[in-house]
Amino acid sequence: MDEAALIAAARRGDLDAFNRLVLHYQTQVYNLAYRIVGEREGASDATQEAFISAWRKLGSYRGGSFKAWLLRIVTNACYDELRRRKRRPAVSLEALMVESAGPEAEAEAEFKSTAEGPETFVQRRELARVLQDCLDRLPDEMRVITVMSDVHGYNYDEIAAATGVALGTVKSRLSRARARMRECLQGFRELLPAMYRLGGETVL
Amino acid sequence: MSHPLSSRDTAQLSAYLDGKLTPADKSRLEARLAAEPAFRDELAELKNMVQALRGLPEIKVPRNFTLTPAMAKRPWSLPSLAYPALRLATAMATAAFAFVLVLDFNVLRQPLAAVPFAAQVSDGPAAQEELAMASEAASMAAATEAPELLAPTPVPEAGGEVLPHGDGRGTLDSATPGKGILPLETEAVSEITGTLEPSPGRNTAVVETPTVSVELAPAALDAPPAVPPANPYRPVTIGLGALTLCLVVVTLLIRRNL
Repeated sequence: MDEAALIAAARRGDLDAFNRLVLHYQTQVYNLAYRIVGEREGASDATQEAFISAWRKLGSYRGGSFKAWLLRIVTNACYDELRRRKRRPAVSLEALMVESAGPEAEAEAEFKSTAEGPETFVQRRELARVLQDCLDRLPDEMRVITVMSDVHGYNYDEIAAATGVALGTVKSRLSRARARMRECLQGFRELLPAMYRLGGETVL
Repeated sequence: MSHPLSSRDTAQLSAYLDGKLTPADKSRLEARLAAEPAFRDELAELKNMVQALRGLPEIKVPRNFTLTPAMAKRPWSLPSLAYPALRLATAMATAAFAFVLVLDFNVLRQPLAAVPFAAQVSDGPAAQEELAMASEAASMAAATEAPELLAPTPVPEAGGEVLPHGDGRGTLDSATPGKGILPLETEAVSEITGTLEPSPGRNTAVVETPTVSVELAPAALDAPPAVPPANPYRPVTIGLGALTLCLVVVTLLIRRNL
């Protein structure tokens, strides 16, 4: 995919070119939104909003990393979605109840695609559930940074650019978020003895 | 497991994990890691947690998020349509405001610079403020009008008419309004503030006022429309200023929502 050519065409108003960019980035964007917003429906809304917003703001893209530019739009769309959900908590609750079937379904797809034993699969699924639960308990601005850094592996500079906060703030927020995550995970330790061991190494 | 480490220590470990420590901090921390098992445990746990987060499964997208032509179309919304017009209006209002402001200041400055009793005129409002507090609205209005009406009037006449009429009259005329009115006013002020009985003092002040201008009237007849008694730009300036401010605020708000 020649990204630069697609971007140039999209900026001239070529929607097909832009949609090819969407197809390329949608998994990344949706996963980021899912870990930040914490459930599927909100993640879908945020992802769609982010791409619509990106299409409309293409004029403001001034070269450089398209991914970094998109990341900032996605982060803002996630914050918008989180604010929307806070304003209408009923929607969030309803979505959470529907959500309960979600992680299993997605993990199942994962299980089929990898050749791991059912035991490991169950452990991984539990671990994923607990991790997301602890992520959900973080304050929004800490969760956004933790997801970007630890789940998606972005570096401090990318996170600072996407969230619009200073590098030092990224560093300190991440450190505090990790401390909170550890506390939260320790609360689950007794509930989930199976996940103590993962890949032969003591986990948590 | 308990946390024997301070929050600064955990912050350092977190940065160390991401390779974000300065070389000096890094070697200091590595020395502590070698010496203190608690530090090592903490780092290992932190590493495991980050690894676990990094290992979260990638979720399949529930659908494609490609844009339909309908989604891609800019919504026909009032703000997006109104924005260019508002921006233009704001720019025009700002320019008009600046223009009128300059005119306003020029009108304000000219008489003050030309009038020899400028200092006394500036005393006037202070006295009037005291007056205003003590007396009723009617007499206050008379007092505020008197000097404002008078002050600009004699200026050009004094300057312009002094030459044909001769020195004595000219200087006398220009001196009369200032010297003649202000003592009267201060008298009036003291009377009014003291007794709350404004009539005699005020009346003389107001009555005195026309006599001064009557003296000048024949000479002044050529010029009067050229110099308006009050600053005509002030209401326009205030109005345009308010309009500009409102437009700027509305434009900025719309821009944020675009």
